[in-house]
Amino acid sequence: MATMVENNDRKEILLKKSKIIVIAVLVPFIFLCLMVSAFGENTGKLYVVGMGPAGPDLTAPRVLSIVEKADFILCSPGMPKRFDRFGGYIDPSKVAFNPWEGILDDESRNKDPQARAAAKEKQRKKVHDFVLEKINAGQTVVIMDGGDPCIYGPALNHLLVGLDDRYYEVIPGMGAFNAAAAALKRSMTCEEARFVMLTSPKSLFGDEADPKDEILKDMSKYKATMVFYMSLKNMKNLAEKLITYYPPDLPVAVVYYAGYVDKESVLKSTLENIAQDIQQMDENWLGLVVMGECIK
Amino acid sequence: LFITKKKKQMSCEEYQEKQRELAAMVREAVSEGKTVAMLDNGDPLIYGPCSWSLIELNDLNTEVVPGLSALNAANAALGRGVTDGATSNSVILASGWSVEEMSVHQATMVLFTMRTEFKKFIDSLSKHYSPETPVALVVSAGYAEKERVIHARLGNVLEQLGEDRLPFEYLLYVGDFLAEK
Repeated sequence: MATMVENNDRKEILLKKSKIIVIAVLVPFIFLCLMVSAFGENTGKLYVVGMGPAGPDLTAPRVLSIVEKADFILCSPGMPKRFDRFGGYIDPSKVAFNPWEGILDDESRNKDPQARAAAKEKQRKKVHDFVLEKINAGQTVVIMDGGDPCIYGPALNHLLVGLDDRYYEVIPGMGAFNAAAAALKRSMTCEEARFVMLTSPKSLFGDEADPKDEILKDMSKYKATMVFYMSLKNMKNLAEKLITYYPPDLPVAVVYYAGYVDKESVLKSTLENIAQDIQQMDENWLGLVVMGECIK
Repeated sequence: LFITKKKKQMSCEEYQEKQRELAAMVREAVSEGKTVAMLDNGDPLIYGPCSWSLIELNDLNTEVVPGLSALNAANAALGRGVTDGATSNSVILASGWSVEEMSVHQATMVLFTMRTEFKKFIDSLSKHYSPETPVALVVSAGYAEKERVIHARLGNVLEQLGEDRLPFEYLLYVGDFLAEK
C-alpha cells in the first residue's frame, strides 16, 4: 500500500516535471514561430525579372518559379497575349496593372515631349507607391521586363529610378542580343573582332540636335561587332552616317523576332544596301541590327 | 559529346589537333543520321570556347540554341542597367588585348577577363578612366550559393582586393552606371 502511494506520488511528480518540460519547450518554440512569421510579414520583395526574348523555353527556370510564387505581377498587355506561350506560369488574376501604360505604348509615341515626361513621372510614382505598399504588407511583386532587364530595359532605366535598391532583386534574363547571335550562328567575338559594342544611335552620336561622330570615327579603326538597339525606321540615317567611316561591303544583318520559333527571320545585307533591303520586309519597327566581319 | 576540362593548359597545336578530332567525330555521327549536341558554357557566342565549331562545321547546317551568358547573370547581380550610365549609354564587351583602345570614350565596359592578369587590366584602364571611376567584380555570376559582388573604385581596387586570389569565373565592370544614385 505504502509503495503504491509512493508510486502515485512519483507519477504526479513526473507528470508535473513533464508539463514543465513541455511548457519550457513549447513557449520558446511558439515565440520563435511568431517571430519568424512577423519577420516574414516584413520581407516582401520586388523582383525585376528578365522574361527573355520570346517564349518560356528561353526564360530561366529561376524566373518562372518566382513568377509562379508572386503575389502581384506588373506587365505589359503584350505579356498576357503571350500567356498561352507561358502556359501555367502566369496567373492572369495576379496581374495588377500595366506599368508602361502611356509611356511605352502606341498612344505615347504621339504625345509631345512635355506630355510624355509628365506621363512617365506619373507612372513611376504609381509603381513606387504600389510596390512599397505591397512590400510593407509582406507581399512579393514581380515586374516583367522583356529580354535582359539590364540592357536598355525600361524598368531599371526609368520605373525604378529613385527606389532604394534594397527593395528589389534582378533575376537574369536572356537578351534579344543573345538570341540574335544564335540566329546568325556566329560568335560575336570571332577572331577578327575581339570586342562587341551594344549601342543605340542616340548613345553613339549624342543629341540629335548636336550629333558627334568621334566615337564612331575611333571605333571604325578596330574590327568589332556592333549591335544597335533602335527603331528600324532610322536605318537609312544610321547607314548614311556609318558609310563615312566603314567600307560599303561591311556585313550588316537584321534579326527579326529573335528567339521566336515560328517568326524568327534573318536579313543579311551590307552597309551600302541595308537601307534599301529592309524596305522589302513587313516589319519596320522591331529588329536587332548587327554589324561586323563576324557575321559574314 | 562532352568536353572535359583539362588540368594542364594545352599548346596551340594540341588544341587544334583536339578540335580536328572532335570535328571528325561530329561529322561521322551526323553522317550516320544522328543528332549531336555540343554543350558550351553560357552563351556560346560571347567568348565561348566552342565557337570555332560553327565555322568548322558550317556545312552541316548547325543550329545554335541561345543560352544565358555570364554577362546576363552578372548584369542582374549588379541590379543596374548597364546602359544607364551618365556619360555613356553604350556598353563594350572586351577581352584582354583591346582594353586600352576601348577606354578612350569612357563607355561602360565589361571585361571577360579569362586568364589575363588582373593588374594588367587595371593598369590599362587607368590610362584613360579617372581613378574615381566605379568598378565592380562579379564572381561566379548566376550561382545561387557562390555569387559574389565586389564594389570598388579604379584607383583602389587592387588595394581593396589585397592578396585575395580571384577565381577563373569573374567579370569586371567599369563605368559610372555603378555610381551611387
